[in-house]
Amino acid sequence: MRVLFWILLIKQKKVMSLASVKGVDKVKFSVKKAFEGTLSNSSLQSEVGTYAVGQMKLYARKATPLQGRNVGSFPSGYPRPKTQEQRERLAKYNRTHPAYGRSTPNLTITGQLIDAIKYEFSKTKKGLFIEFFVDGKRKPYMTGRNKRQKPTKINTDNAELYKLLIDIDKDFAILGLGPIQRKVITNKVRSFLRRALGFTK
Amino acid sequence: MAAPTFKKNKVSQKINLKEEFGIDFRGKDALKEALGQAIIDRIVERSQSGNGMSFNSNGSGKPVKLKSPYSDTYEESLEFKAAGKSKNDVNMTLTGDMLGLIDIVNVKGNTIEIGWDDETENAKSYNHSVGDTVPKRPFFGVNKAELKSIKSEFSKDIKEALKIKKKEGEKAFESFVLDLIDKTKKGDVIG
Repeated sequence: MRVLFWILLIKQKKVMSLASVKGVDKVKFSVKKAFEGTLSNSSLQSEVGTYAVGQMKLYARKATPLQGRNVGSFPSGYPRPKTQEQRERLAKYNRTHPAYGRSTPNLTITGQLIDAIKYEFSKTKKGLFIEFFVDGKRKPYMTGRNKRQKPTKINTDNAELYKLLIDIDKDFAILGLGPIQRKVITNKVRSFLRRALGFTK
Repeated sequence: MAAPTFKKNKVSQKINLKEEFGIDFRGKDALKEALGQAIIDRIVERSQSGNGMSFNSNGSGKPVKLKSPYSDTYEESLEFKAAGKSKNDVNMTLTGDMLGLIDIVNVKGNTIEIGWDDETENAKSYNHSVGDTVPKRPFFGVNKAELKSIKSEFSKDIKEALKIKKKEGEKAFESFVLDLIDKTKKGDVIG
């Protein structure tokens, strides 16, 4: 249930070849180190990760989820009349998210599932990777006054609930980055590269 | 200095760095890129804090507060709620695409041009800047005072960047990063 993207997948060979023109080991080392420093920059990772996750939450709640590399849509006909009734009943006993609507197809009642989207960076020899996934514990719904759902795996684990949804219909996917998001991330990376050109801020 | 251009198909501002910073920037590509980014950062930070810049016909810009609050209709929209926005917190950010795509669109001699190379975001910024179909919220552009503050904020970095004799490592890194910046303009860096 994870979605993986690469960022700045630059072959190490490329870094080496530029430096080896100079023919000095020290230069090769410092360019590589400085470049890796830019990639490892925690504010770059945090800015890109926070932006990407924010977009996935926004688009899912707008009912136009980001799925893989595109903007998609939730399964047609969702939420069905029966589900709408159920949503309304749960909304009565739980604190709803501002984007909740009885018939709004956005997987949002309390907002716990979509708020559970997380990101993780990993750096390999090939470059920097970012992975998106749904994680963390959730509070089972209140189903009446002072009455809570049974704490089963699906009721308490966001990843399990998400897996169940995907098993029902893959169009319930909420992890991805569309063309505009990839463009904005490219711009963000570019701005960090520019800042790496000597400016302290 | 020149005020920004506000056209449906082009919203941008040309800044002659030699005039504003008193330094000849020809051939100093890295410094132009870094300064251009500092200017973009200033516009984004200001806009996100609800402050704009209104330019008159002779090109001088005056800081203004961006019109607040948002309209009731907008507040009631699913987008507004989905983004977790607040009615009184005007920050020119819904998806974040418009501010996120401000870029250096042209560099020539001592002049850099800040704007959008994305048609949709350019149109959105035009609408906000002139008040076409939406309330006027002039957020784009920098004035002389802002450039002066950027100059003083980065004076040490500018001095360092203008050093004639650079270490081999510095030069190699600079050209490597410039090359990467160029590559990011030709295609996405994420996939």
